Amino acid sequence: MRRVLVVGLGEFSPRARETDLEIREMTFEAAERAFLDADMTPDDVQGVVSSGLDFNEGVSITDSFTPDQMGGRLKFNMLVSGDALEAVYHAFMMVKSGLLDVVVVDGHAKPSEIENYRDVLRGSLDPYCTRPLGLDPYVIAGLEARAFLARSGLPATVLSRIAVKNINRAALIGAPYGERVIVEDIEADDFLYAPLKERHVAKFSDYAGAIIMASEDAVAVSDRCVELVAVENSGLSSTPHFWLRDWGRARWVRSALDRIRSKHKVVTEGVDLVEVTEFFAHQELMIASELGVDAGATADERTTPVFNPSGGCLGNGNSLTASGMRAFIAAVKQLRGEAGPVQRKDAHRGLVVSMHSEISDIGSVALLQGVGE
Amino acid sequence: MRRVAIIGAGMTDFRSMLPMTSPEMIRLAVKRCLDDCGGLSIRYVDGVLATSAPDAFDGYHDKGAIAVEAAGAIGKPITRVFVGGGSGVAAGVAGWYHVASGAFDTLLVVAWEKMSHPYPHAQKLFQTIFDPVLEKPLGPNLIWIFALEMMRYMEAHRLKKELIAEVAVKNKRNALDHPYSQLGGRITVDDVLNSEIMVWPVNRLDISPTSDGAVALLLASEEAAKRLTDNPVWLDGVATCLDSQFWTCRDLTYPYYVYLAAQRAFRMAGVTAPLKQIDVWEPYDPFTYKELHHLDGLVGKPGIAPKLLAEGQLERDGDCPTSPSGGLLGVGNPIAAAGLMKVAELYWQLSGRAGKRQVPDAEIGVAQAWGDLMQVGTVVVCRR
Repeated sequence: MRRVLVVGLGEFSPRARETDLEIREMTFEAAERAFLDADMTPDDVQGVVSSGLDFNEGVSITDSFTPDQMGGRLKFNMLVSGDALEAVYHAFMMVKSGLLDVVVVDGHAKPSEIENYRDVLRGSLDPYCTRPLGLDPYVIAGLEARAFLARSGLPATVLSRIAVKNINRAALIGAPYGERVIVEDIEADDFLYAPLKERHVAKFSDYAGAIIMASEDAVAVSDRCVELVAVENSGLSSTPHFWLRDWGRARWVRSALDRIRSKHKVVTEGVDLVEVTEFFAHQELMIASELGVDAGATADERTTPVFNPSGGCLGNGNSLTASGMRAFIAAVKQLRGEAGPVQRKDAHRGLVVSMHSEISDIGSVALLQGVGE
Repeated sequence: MRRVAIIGAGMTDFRSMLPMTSPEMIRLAVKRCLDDCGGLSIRYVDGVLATSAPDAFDGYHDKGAIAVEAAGAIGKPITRVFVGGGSGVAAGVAGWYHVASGAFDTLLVVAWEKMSHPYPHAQKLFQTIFDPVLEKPLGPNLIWIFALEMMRYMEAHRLKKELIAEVAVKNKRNALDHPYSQLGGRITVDDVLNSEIMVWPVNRLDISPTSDGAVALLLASEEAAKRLTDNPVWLDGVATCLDSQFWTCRDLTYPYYVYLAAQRAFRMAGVTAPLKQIDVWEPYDPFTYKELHHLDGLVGKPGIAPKLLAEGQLERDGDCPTSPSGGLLGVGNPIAAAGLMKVAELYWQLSGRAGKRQVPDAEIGVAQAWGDLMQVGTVVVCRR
């Protein structure tokens, strides 16, 4: 089957609070940059795959409002309700199947305009058994972190080491939550959801990202193209039924990896970098553990594969369903050699691992490599 | 490109205030679908594609998660797609590329809607679909904007209400033969014209009901289909097309986006003369005029559908039978599930298992749905 390439990308870079542009204008800017990057116009694209959730945007049927900004009028359209990496997953299948040759994929979020996000997120809990408890849904992350530490035997300070690594890296690229910190600074933070402290929890950022994906036979292949080798998704239990979880594990990662190996006949070892949407520090560790990497070692700058060279969500912010797009674009930049101060030397293959939402037990995994690999 | 087959279908009753939760409806539809495949175990299903319209109906943020356990998807890939009212047929489109891409050999496609949660009526929640800056402050509801479109359609083609009302008469009569229908019945044109005026020219019986319900289909690759059934129906053409969100800037006479989607799906399926080649039509009919409006787009000839209706060609025994299922006007309209019900009807018709609804010798069928802000057309073409 034909290869799927990422041929263009554009971002409205993450910021704690965007006050000038509204969400559709941010999406337009990201798409415009993606078209420029790919040396294309909207006429070259056959369809739009958007991602998002109604309650995050305060509008029902939110997909109605995205394609106009992306040159999608009178073209193929699909909304994937969830993280943007799931939209990439759908776009990948569209191109692989031959349905479309060139497609633009969107991820956008403006959490700064949501007054009551925790209440919104609580709405994803089971309405009979869990929601009536009135829990702050982030308590689930605290429980998960505690279970992970108990299961792995790692000390709680490992959470701060992850936060330090990601926040310091983010400082190098001017990301909204980047700063020069040491473990003692983070350890001095107050607990929010024990054992998670304040900077173990990603703060919100407004962000929009767009990528253009194409079949290799539909575009001129250059060394700036990156091959999307495979992307897979798996769900082990749903958000409302969190009592079904294997607490302290992200088993969906292993399940998605197994599918990548068996369906696409590729090896997932030998990657140089992994971009993860770690809304909470322990999630990077949990995911590393499922990837077969010594979780405790991921906080080490010299470990290969390197985890979250971009600074992850802890450094760039939690952009809700757009977080997967930010992570995906960060990985593509690495493989293009365009990651600036956080560029890893000899980055050839990368994984992107993105959760469906902060407290879900579902997610997607993508394997990327340079076109010459 | 791998060929994709529909090898099973199942659905719940479509009802107002169906005494089942969303997970219960999903579970029942999935069970009936798997039973339809000879009692196939969910273990042999590779993944699940879910669809349901606005989260607000269920009062559930990110409500695709409801389907994970209910559809038996634990440990399997699952995502949800969603394009408003077009979702049900869009799920057929998305299901197609899941299988055609080689990513899945078998895929369960599940659609559900629970419209009776919003009290007293789902119409209040539809007010949240409009542009929050330009439209919402005006307080529009769906019936207002459909009334505008219906008026424009009637004006452009000089149509009388009496003719359009015949769509309700036909579809509700057809629905009498559908075992899961909500509003099958024998009504007259006068019944439609004398029913309450909601917003002129829309009468109550011009509108499909609010409904609860779920539908499930099982898709399979050609190889898997040969293994699992002797009677596959092939999903040979799929497409969606979205027009601008600024619906007030469009000529509402003709759904150009439906035309484009249909042309793409027909090209893919090798259909060159739709009126001659297609035996079963399931255009989206949430309102009487919409069946005609959409049929115009599917055929590619503005104004042809009312003529065919007047000639009796849209009846089950006509040359262009539309909504032999009974459509949304008769079977019911649980938004996303209604669209997938239309794809299921193609499966039953083309596999020769539609019972009293059977269109004789049906070989090729088309199903279409429509949604978002009157802007998206989703189309699938199936072949025996």
